Amino acid sequence: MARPTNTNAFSDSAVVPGNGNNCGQSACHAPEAQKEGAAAGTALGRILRDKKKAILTKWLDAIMVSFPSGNSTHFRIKGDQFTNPTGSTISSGLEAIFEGLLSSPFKAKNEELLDGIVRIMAVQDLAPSQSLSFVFSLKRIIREELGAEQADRQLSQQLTDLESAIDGLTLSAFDIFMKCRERIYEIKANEARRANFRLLQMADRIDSVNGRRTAPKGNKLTIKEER
Amino acid sequence: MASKFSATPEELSKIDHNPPKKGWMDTPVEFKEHTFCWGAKGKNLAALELPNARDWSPADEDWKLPENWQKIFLDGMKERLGKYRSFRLFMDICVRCGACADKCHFFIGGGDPKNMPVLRAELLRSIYRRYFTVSGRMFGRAARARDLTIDVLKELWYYYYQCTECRRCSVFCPYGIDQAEITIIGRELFNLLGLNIEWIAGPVANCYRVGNHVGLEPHTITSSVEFFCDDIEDVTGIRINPTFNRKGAEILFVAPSGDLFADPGTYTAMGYLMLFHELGLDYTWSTYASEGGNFGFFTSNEMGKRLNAKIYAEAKRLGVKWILGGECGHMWRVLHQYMDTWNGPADFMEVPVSPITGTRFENAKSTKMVHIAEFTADLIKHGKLKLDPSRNNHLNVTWHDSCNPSRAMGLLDEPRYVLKSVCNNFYEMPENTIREKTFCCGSGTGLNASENIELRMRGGFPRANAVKHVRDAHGVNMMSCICAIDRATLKALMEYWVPDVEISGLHELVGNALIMKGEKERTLDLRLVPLPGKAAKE
Repeated sequence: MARPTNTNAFSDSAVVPGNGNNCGQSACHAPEAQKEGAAAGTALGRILRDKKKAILTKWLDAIMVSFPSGNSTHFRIKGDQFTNPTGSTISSGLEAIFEGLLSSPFKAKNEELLDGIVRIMAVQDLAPSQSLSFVFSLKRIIREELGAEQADRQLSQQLTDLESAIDGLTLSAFDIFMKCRERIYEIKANEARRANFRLLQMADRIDSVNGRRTAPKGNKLTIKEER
Repeated sequence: MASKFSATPEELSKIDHNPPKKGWMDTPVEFKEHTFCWGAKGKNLAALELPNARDWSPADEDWKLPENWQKIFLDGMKERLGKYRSFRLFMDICVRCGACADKCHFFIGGGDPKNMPVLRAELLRSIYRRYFTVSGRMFGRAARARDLTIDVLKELWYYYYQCTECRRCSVFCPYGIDQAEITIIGRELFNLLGLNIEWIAGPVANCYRVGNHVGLEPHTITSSVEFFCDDIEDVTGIRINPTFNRKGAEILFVAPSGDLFADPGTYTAMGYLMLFHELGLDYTWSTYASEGGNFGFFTSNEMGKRLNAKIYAEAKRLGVKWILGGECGHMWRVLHQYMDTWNGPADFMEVPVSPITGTRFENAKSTKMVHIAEFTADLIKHGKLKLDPSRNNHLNVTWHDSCNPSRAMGLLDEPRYVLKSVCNNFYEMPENTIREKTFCCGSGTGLNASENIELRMRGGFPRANAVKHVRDAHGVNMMSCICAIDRATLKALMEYWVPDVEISGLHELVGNALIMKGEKERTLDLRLVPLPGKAAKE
């Protein structure tokens, strides 16, 4: 089905303008360029695809250095999705996100891939800056790999757009990270709530959930004190 | 204590891909927030007559140890090396092949090398070599031995409370070295110095005082069960009146107290009640033997024995013929492997025979205690239950093999048989994450606290990752299991990693499917949630 298109100096492919619906449930403020496959079909995209292996190796190094010394050794080892879920989620996620930057359209799937990695990083007892620095580092790695080529004027513009897309990715990563941390504290609160819910319910101290009645049947209950 | 906001981008960009210059012995432990549990309170240690009872915090520099703590630790080690051949063997025979290294869920989820089972054991082996072997005494470091210093003690403590004794590593060890037993001994040694964690010591003190971890007193237990009966009446229209502490009952039923206390375990307890009522089983609950679980087992052999004693004592007092046990994990490791030698022989009871099917449970000939999954599987096999699995049609169910029932007692097929009989939509997780190779919930052995939540999430990731796989592939929205700790902690784990998957016990789903004599048309499940397509007719 034909979709409305607009032109973008950066991409020569069809894009959906401003639909803003590809960030899952999060309020996403990522620049529009992120949403299109930032280097799709461009000269820059073709060059980066050639350098993909080197870039991904460096990018993986960049995320692994976030872990305390020695902790990342296992994550670098090739394993399947179930024997090494952490390493596998990170390495396959990075590759897929990179592919997403080079392809079009750059869709919600990338949010999901980013979520997989950030969700892991958010419970590694790392500072937020340590957890998310890997997204920023992609810009440096790409410039390192481009070397002198980045001086080309056409590439330079495309590179600026790509970096803008990576900035958008970073913002999404912060959204996800914050949601993960909030979730952790919700889980702690939920556990405490579950631990007390039944007793409070028995003691008739709280209203029901799921349509539960507010008072027990009969007068069987002998405790009324909050425990 | 590591600050959460310490790193600058400049620091982070300094990438060093070389291995650390220091060996593991020279890498001091760093106590990280959200990874360790709070220290035991003095009042709970005192209630249990455990040594060095005082309030203390693992985060403090001073652990308030007795002056001669090294001697106490080493004497304790010597005693156990003499008493337990397995311990000496496990200290001696490891060849560090590494087969276990990547099998620990904490290592897989967090990557800390000292969570590799081989290295976690090596933390203690280095002490063993230094003080109990000639080569270690003579050659020290060259023989991979080291002195027992306060830093070494702290390192040992930090990592031995990051092991859930799940025994997955032992499945892969060519020598069969059981890291769980090494952790058990390690924790016993810490307890000689008053170094338990509060999440264990508190429940143990409760259990010693009133018979169960949660601290439920008799009237609370009866009113909890009556409350479940109210809900069952709402669902089925049938009033159940179970008995408590009834002398002369044929069967004593012992469940984990968690099932009386917190959702979703409570729905499992409702399932037990419905099943027993439908069978007309001559059984009784006990408000004294009100806990099958045993956090004493995570403290010391003696404490485990002490807390377990009430089960046979109550069976004897009530004069029952045999004991039926509910859905709990480590409870069954204790009952299956320790209870008989701790507090047996249970020669005052009879070999369990199902009064419904006549099946004689030869496997429980000695302990006289039968697992409810075996009991129910037998009932279904003999066609004694009327079931409508379509009541669980809104659930796409997977099965989590809880570590202890699967690895410690081989209970693999009975619960699956029950599950497949009460559900139409069942999907297994991948082969290397189930049965004997099942992944731990990451919160067992008393580590289901709140303060170590990040450790729990990391350790549970391998399990959650497999659940995510079946959710994506088959739309799984319910994971069932037979462990009370699992039911509590997997709920939290799913909330983080796979939010749309719920947790249930096996007998909650049995209760849903069970067609009871004289019941009204079911419109609600045991959670009092409307069954899809079976809305109440007003």
